[in-house]
Amino acid sequence: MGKLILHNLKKAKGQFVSFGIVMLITALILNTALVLLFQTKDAYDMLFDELNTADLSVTIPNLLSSDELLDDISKLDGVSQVNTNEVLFASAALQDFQDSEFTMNTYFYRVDDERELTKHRITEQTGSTSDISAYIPLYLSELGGYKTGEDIRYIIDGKEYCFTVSGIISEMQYGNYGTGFIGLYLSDQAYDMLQDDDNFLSVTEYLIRTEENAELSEVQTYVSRLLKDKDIPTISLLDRQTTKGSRTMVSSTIVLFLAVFALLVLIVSIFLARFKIKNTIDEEINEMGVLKGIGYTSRMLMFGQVIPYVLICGIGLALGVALSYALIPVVANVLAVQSGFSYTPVFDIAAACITVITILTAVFVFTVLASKKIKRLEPINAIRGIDPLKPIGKNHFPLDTSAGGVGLNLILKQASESVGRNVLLFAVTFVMMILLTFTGVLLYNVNVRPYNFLTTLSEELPDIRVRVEEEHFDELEDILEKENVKAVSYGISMAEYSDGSIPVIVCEDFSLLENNIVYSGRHPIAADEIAIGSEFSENYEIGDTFKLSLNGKEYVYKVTGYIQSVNNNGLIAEITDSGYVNISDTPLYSLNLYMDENADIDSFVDKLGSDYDEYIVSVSNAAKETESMQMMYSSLITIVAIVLFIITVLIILLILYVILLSMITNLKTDFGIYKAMGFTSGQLIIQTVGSITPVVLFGALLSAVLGIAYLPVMFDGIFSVIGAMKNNFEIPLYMLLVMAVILTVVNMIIGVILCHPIKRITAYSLIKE
Amino acid sequence: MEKEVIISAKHLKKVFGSGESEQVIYSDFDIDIYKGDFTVIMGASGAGKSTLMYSLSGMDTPNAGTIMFCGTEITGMNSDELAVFRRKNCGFVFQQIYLIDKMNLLDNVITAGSLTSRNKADIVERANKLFDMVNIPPATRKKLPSLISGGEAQRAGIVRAAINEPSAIFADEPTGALNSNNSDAVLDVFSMLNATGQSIIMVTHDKKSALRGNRVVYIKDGTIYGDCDLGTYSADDTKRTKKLEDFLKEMGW
Repeated sequence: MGKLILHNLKKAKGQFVSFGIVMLITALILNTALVLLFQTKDAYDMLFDELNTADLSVTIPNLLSSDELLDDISKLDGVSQVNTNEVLFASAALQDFQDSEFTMNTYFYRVDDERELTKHRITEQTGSTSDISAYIPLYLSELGGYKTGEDIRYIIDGKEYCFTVSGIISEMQYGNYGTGFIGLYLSDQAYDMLQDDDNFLSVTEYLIRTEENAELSEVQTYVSRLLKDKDIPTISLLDRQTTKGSRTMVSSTIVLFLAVFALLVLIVSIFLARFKIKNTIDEEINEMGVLKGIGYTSRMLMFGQVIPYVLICGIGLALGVALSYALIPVVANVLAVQSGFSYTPVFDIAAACITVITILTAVFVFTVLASKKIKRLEPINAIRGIDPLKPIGKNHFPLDTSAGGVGLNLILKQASESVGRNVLLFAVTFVMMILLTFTGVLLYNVNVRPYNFLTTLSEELPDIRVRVEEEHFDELEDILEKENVKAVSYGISMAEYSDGSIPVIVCEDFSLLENNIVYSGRHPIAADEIAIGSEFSENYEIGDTFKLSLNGKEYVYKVTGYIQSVNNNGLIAEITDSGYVNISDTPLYSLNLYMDENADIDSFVDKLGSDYDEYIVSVSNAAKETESMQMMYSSLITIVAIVLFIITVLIILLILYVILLSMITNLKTDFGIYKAMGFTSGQLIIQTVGSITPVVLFGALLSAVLGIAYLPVMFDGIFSVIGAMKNNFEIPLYMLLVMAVILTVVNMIIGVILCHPIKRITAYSLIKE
Repeated sequence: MEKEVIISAKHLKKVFGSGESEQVIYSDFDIDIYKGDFTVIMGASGAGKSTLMYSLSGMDTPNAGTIMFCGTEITGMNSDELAVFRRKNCGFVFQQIYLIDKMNLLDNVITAGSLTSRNKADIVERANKLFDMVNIPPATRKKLPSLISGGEAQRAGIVRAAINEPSAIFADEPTGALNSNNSDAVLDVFSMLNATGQSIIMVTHDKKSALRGNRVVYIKDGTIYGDCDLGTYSADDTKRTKKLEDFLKEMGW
């Protein structure tokens, strides 16, 4: 038995090596996905606990804070501990964020404050620091490109604030902008300097620790109700689950994608093992007959076929799991950029076991099923080469009557010879096309049509954003009209709803906007209408009422539709200008400007700043922000796409190697006959590659055409995980068809290279054998 | 009238293995094959008959020496050049027949025919004439090799070898795997082809097969040990039979 296994292994060692490499890739990807899945959230929780982070964090204006409120919150059911901090808050335009401007809701803390709850840890520090210095979260350092020792600048209401970056900080509350808020930790001197500045709102942060058995959402409701009863507006009310969700969002998406990728490769690998075993039985039917004749049982022969696959699979999986630990830290570091916290992944026995056991079991089951045919072989028939299950062949594409030349029909004949091979080729091509078209469409919408990608992730992409002095609002609108610049009154204000605060988009007429973020229902038109974010869709139906309040003034709106928002996890709403008047005495006085395609936006921003300085509170080049966002994503996605493309080509290479080598071994005699007749190696290589091409082309084209249906579902699924319920991706059929042709050509090129062994087959080898 | 030489081999050497395991099959071997002849190569097992035949046909490459085939030196050609040369000049009939088992008989023949002609109708017409000649009915021509008798398959193999009207047909023990009736039918086909002027070189162990030739070359110890002119084949010519038997006896057969 052992000798039989060794013999089978040696006989097709090249093909087993290929199979092993495919298994290695599968394990590498799956284990990476599982380790990230198991450890990212655990690492988050661990760091969360280590820094004794509060379960709930509520910020309210300092003026409304009191000991009585602290006492009331402490007495709420489920609350075990409450601490307060004094913090400064501002909507600050961060300069030079990826060479652009990024306005963020920012909390400014004292870095030296002693805290019991929601502590922070300095992870990187410069030797010498300026007095006016700040510690920044990893998110700003990695994504924004701010380095220690350099300056970080903000502009608030036209005034510039500059701090020297003293170090990087790790904390679990406002460490990234997924929640719509970010924290900055200032030196005492810097904090004192801002404290009396009117641009900053003094707020009090209530950090709440819940009891071990308390239901977090219930405590959150109690806190909201308490604040509402006391007419205290909140600036933010965040719980640990929401924060965790937003900070591990990209990680979850990538894990999902890697797992799907691994699953697809596994399916292909199983097809491959199944094909190879069936092919081996066909090739070695006589040998199996002889072995049965001398006393080998069917079970022994079956396991002689199955065990090498299981063995090679096991080795490939072990190596894949081991190698994944070189990949995981790299991926974890990439994810740390978005999540804003880093951790060192460790060996995960559960992930390794799931990877190895799942794949090994799948390979074992499918190879056993494929080898069951051996049971039905009668020794004497097998010795004579008779396979009882094999139908008598047909003479496909008869050369005398079929249309087209003999060469073409010989290719078609060879193409129609093996159903198993064609099924495998079709499956491989179809799956590989899914991966290629997915990355292709992603690349297209990020690099060629970046607007599609950005509008999927953003609310609105104007060219310029302007906050206007109240008394000059109408005047500036008239001026912009004369300048042929489309101006739409558009702004975002925080307002309270029953459970906390949400950003509310306010616009004079949503039909004037360029990005329609409504994915169900419609935008509000009347003053009493509201569209709400996806997070509310479970509790509020279209037609229901939704109450907003601002500074004690409240209004009940009628829900007209649902809108998407990635940055706010679906916690957002939109109302009209006239609707805003219902909760606010003061309109927003902010405008979105839209310029012609070839207009010089930079010059116009400068012009606004110089010619209309007295009309304007602040102006920002939104197009530049958009561009930097696009650059940020495009580089990441381009890298991912290239890596996927390389893996896909490698898998195609390995699978074609097995298929073509099996074909060449199978057809060795035929090739000898062809060569004796006078066929050259080149002709036979073309014939062989040509014979796999129709199936590959069919699989690729079918996958491309069906891609029009399945790709939107895939993208919808992935984007919905991060709150983008309506993706604006274009999926041009021509591009998918071009990719199908490219895949076919790549297959052909690889095929020609892999068919090289045909050159070594001689007509004379027929006689020698 | 002097016969035209179609294959002329000079100083041929063929060696298998190397070093201590080196086995010299033949060395400094000369032979001429004449146009229109039915040359039979005989010899004991392992004498190198088949090796010689495949060297002469460009299917195998000798280690030394030159082979002129229809005025072209084939010994310096690479494998693809030899393949192109074989299309027009050589037809092969094997003991194991070696038809492509996924193609019917007609397709097997058309495949070979397509190498020298692009006119499919012309190839099919020639193929059918040859099938008629070897007595394979139209229905059988459309059958796969696994569904016909060995004799029919070998006759189809001869049709395939003859389809391009090659300068020579090389047959390696063509009746070796056939019963007596089928052997006769196959040999009749060879005789018919030879009668039309087709040059044939056949390796055989079988005296009955050898009788079909007009020349019998006996190989022994890597050289031509004997060369017998039997004259034109006739089915009831006892003199030829006697002459061959005497020749073979002399050769130590």
